[in-house]
Amino acid sequence: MASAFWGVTGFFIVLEIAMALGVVFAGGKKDEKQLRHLLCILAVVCCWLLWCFVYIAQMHPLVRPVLQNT
Amino acid sequence: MKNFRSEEMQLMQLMMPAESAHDTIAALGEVGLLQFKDLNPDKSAFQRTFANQVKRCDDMARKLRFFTDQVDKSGLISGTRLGAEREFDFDELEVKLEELEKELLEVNANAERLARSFSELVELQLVLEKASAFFDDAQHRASASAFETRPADGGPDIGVPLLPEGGAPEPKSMRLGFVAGTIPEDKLNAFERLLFRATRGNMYLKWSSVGSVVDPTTTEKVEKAVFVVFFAGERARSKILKICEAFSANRYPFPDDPTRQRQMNAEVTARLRELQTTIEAGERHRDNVLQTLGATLQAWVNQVKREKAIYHVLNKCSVDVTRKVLVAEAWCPVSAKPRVHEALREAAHSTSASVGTIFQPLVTYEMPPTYFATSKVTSCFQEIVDAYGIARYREANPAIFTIVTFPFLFAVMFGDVGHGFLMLLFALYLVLNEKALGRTTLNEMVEMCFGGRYCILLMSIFSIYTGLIYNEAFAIPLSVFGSGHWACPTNAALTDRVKMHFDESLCPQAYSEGLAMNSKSPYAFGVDPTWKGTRTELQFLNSVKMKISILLGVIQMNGGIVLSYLNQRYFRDSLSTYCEFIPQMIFLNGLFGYLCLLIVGKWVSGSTADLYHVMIYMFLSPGTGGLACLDATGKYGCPENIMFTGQGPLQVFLVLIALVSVPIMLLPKPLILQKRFKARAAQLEEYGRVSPHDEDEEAGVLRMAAPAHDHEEEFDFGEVMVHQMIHTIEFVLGAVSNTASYLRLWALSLAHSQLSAVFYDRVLMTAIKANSWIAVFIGFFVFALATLGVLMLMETLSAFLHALRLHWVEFQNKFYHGDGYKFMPFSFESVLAEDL
Repeated sequence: MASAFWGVTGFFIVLEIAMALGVVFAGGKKDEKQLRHLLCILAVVCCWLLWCFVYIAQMHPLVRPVLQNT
Repeated sequence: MKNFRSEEMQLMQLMMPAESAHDTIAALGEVGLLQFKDLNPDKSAFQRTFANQVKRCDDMARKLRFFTDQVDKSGLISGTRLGAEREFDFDELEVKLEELEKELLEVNANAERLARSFSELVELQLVLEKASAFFDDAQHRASASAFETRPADGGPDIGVPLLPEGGAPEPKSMRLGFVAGTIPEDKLNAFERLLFRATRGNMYLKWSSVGSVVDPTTTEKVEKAVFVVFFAGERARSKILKICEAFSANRYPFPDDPTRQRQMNAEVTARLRELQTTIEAGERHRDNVLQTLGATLQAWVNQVKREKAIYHVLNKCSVDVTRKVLVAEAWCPVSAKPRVHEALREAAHSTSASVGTIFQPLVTYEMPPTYFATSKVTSCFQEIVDAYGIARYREANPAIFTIVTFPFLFAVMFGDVGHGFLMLLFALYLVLNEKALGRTTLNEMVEMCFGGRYCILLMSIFSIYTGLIYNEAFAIPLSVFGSGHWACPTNAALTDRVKMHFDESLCPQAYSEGLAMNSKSPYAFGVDPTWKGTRTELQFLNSVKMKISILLGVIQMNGGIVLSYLNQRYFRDSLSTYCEFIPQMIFLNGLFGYLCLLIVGKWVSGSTADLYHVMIYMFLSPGTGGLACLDATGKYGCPENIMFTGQGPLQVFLVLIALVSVPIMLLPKPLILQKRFKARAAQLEEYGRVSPHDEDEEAGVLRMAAPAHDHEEEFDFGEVMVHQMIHTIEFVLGAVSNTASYLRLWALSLAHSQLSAVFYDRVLMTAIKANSWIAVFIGFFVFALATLGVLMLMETLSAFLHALRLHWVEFQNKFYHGDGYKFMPFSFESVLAEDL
């Protein structure tokens, strides 16, 4: 695993922490906060998953880009 | 968590003193959190206690509709002075409305009568003018021809009567008569033909069109003509009169004498002028009435709507024999009980009733309604779920997960920074102007977008994100992290694709075997832009997107099954956990979870194993492990398919537990349920045998309770078994077909990127290459139209529908029953929003 993987993953973790802090400090009722936390985590996880799949799919590509003339 | 389960509900009983019942219900309508149960379902609308009041409300509503109609027609702006007038008492209002209706009807009838006589006079005037013109004309011509012919031959004057003066007078019946009037122009031909036939040609019709005139009988504008029919004889006259009637021709008196004609004309003109002023005065009066009406109309409409709603609720209450107390039953969210209490206290205070309303919970076995207190952001997602089915009471609500996963799956299919940005602009327009747009009435399409504005907003944001991942903005690759990850295989320093493009001799291998990976780590964020436009682009993207679809699908389906476990835990249904949740997890993950692990493993390790073969031979010959394909000699070959040691035994194990989990899903649950039922029945029987010796009271309670229990305790093993069988088959087949169904993510994403690439390459680039600004202009115009019409409208719609299907079918069928019914509280807010 290359360093870029952990770098970007770290970025997503920071993003999640920032959003969680935002939810905590934005106030609101307890059950509303819980809902917002869930939504933030879900969104970050979805985004991370998609990025992660695309990243690791390119680590050992079995096909190579073959240029073509247009 | 908010909205994860529907609000807790309680069936409450209200006992209201009859004299304050109306005001109590009004106070509850303001709170708007009670759903009243109909306690007289067997009574028709006319048999109910307050049928009379409802009828009166209906009558008033009819009058108000009439007023609204009149005010709208008069084009006056109906006033917004809400509450400026003092509130009328219900009875007062009724009297007032009655009076106003009578006045308005009278004014209208008068105006109509005046208008009719006005148009009659106008027609008469036209007849007088035209017909006298005919006569004058004829006279002139007659005298002119007499003047011409006389000196010409010098013979005897043909004007001289044949019979000597004072001879036998003309018989009365032979005198020429005429009838004048007006007739619609399109009937004129038929009219003339019929006249001709009826009088056997013995008539003369003269007509002249006068343009469009208001018809006095129909008060519509009609193209009309003035006619004069000349005829001979009384019989012809009566015939012609009948024909006139049949053709709805209006006849008017027309004197022979020119002086009397002029006199009559003057009279008519004078009367017309007089009538005009009368009509104007009448209109002013009517406008005044409507103006004052318009100012208070909305307030009255609201009052009547509320009254009607209140009496509808009162009709649902049961009245006790003394008629002093009304009893109502209503579903109420537990969290709203303090507010209801408060409202009731205030109502009791303001009506100064001697006894307050009693508000107490009832015990019931009925299923309560489902109520989610949604906000403006969550409501559209709740609606997406509700469109499939209203959640069962307290069941896990998929809507809160849908808030993220729906836009996300949409974006996986719609990934493009440019298109996402256009959509974001639209969504921002709707969201930022929501107050202004919420007040106006929009057309159906815009209304729908407006309702889902937060959904569109999230969809656009996720689309921009997935666009970044796919590295596409209007099909143009973005190159944020540089292109240094792939280089010419013979010259590692040569990474510039443009250079290689312009001078193929620099690196001919790039065109035959392809570029080689230059750095250890791949492109940091998203798909490497180097792939764009290469011959292997589709091959690579298809493989990646297909696998991503499977991975996302299996993850979401696992989420669905976990939610079914949360439901089972909440409803204390451990039997289903053991007989459904656990075998389902094993089955799905033993087969497709394993596939997902293989996919990730293949990516990480760079193995060249063929996953199709691995999966297929996992079933055909599990023991061979990864050696999964037959070589030419019929033996198992393909050693590259072995990805890790122990793959063969693991696959045997996985297939076995997946197979074992199927009968576990199917058999134990119905059998255990049956056993439990029998045990309970036996227990009841024993209890029943004992009870007659017990005290009477207890036995009575038991007997009372027994029939109520009978209904839910009935157990039909066959039915339960069939149900379980369907459930199992659905899950097992669904595991395969639903996983395959997630491939639509790949298919739509592919279609989207290919379509946008086609528009970009074939339209925009072709136009730019044409080297003429007209071509560029036209090309850009077509490109913009195609982007908006095909990609932004049709593609959005199709991606939306596919995301909808993935949620409704693939995700929700894992856990969602959706057989509840919606909480419809009695609230003035919704009552006032309805039409009168």
